[in-house]
Amino acid sequence: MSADTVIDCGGIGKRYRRSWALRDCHLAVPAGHVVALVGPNGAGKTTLLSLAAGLTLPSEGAMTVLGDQLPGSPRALDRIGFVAQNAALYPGLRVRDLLAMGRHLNRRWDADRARTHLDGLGIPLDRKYGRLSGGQQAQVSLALALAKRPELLLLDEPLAALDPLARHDFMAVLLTAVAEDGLSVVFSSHAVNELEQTCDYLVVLTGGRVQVAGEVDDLLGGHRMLTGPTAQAQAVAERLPVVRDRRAGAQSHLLVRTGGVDAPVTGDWRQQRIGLEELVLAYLREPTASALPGPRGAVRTNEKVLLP
Amino acid sequence: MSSTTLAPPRSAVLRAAGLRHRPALLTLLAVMGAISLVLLVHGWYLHNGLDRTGAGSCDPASAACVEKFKRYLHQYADSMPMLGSVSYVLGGVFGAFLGGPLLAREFEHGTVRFAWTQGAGRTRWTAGGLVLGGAVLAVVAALFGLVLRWWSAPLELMGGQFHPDLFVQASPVLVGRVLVAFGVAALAGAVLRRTVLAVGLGLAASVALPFLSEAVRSHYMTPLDEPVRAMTSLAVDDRWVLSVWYTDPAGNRMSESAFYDLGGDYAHLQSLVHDGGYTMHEVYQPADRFWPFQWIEFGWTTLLAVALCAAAVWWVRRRAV
Repeated sequence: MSADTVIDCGGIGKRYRRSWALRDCHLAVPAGHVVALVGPNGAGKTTLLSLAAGLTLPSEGAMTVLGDQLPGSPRALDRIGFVAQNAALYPGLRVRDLLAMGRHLNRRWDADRARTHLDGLGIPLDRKYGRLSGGQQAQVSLALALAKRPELLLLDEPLAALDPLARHDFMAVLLTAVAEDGLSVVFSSHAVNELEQTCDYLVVLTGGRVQVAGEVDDLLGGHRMLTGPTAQAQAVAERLPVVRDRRAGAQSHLLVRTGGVDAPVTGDWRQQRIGLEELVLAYLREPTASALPGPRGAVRTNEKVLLP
Repeated sequence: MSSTTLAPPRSAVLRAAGLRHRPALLTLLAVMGAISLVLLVHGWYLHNGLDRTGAGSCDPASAACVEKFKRYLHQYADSMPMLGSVSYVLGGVFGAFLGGPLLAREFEHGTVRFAWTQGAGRTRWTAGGLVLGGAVLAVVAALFGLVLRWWSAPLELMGGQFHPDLFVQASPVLVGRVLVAFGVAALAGAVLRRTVLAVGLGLAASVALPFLSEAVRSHYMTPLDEPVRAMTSLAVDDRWVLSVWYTDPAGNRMSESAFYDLGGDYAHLQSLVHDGGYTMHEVYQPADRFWPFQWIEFGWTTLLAVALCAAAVWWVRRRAV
């Protein structure tokens, strides 16, 4: 059975004491994607993942995962794998015992998969978890999450503490699992420059709200960087939805949303497509701009929406 | 290529908890084993001395025997009262050391985010850990109570089995006390999420509990009242004397201090009781109530511990990470 959304929330909020980590957050992530969750520190990425994993309860609003499941319910726990930030597990236990714990604690458990995974990387099963390298610890956590054969895998900053080689290994295992099982993945990351190779769906979270959500191809196709004389910039900016507006003495750069076609500009103006990194950085620098999908599911209408 | 297995959940959670807590439980067994060994050696020395001086086999009512016992204490057991109070105060500490980290360390190390997102869920995981820890603790404390009771048997000749130092060392009461310390520490760990604080509160509970139970212990059953026509109790059984009061020849009740206010020396007072028509009344708990009292105290302390553990589970259920 497959659900059409893996995370669906309308107007969810989470308050820690006085401050809101998430506020009025609308998001509907379709199934079958590798979703990158990016945003500055304190934007609410960890909170959003904790809510989806059922570790935290929302202060307002509600969230469903895997279609209509409540986060933290037995059926959701069975079908969701979660790898926490820093992949913290019991440092005094052997890898073998951690795998046995996973087997005892889950109804769905694929012991062979975990063993093959760890053997393939040469991680000794009788070594204590605390004595493994950072990359090996992350792999053990991933193996424990994948052995549940989850339909949704949530990863909180899985790459943050890893060296480039370990990052590569980690993503390789992850993408193999995606290809094998067709599972959905939502991971938070700061590594903006690596997103293009890893994800096909992007969510940008800023100040506890969803700023951008959409398939990477749609987002890239729907934006153009316009370059032209500053004298005409104001006229162009009034006609088109501008994400980021940089005007210098002679030339100006306008990042505009075009809805998948070329922008209607002529003359001295040139337009080009941009990369994902540039797009993400532009939105992060302009927290008030947003690009959200049209009305569907729990997501409200947004007047600025141009994407299909 | 491979299959997913269906694990039997409830017992499996206990097995997972066993793997998780095995290092702590092995440490507990090792420490308790070492302490027990020391107590066994020292206890053998004490019992041997009791036989050798003959203080254990003579009639305790005779003056010669009292003299013998004093000599025995001087020679063998000088440190016994001190050790007795140490074990009195510290009797429940290992419950605090096991219960404190049980939940608090999960928060400190961030392992809750692994444990609570497994298929079994946080409630079963927490309950499983508490049940396993409590069960192992109860067995260890029961065995340790047997060793303690044997070790302190020579003291019993002096203070009686109802003596507070000794009463709390018998297995049932010790088990209840250890479980309360465990429950307090576990609950504190769930609420405060600091191992050191949780262990500290468990220790405090373990030290405070004997004083509380000592205050209520005499009320477990209605004490008996026995008129005695002598100033010193003739009873040599291990009864627990709570208080004495007197009646004058006319049968009017008078307090102990009022009786002593009658004046004269001890011999005079004694003659009043012997021949003057005054009667001394002893209010006491008979010796054969030792085990019922043990089980009553075990009962309410264990219920308290179960309530504390249930509160910890409830707290974990409703609180977020």
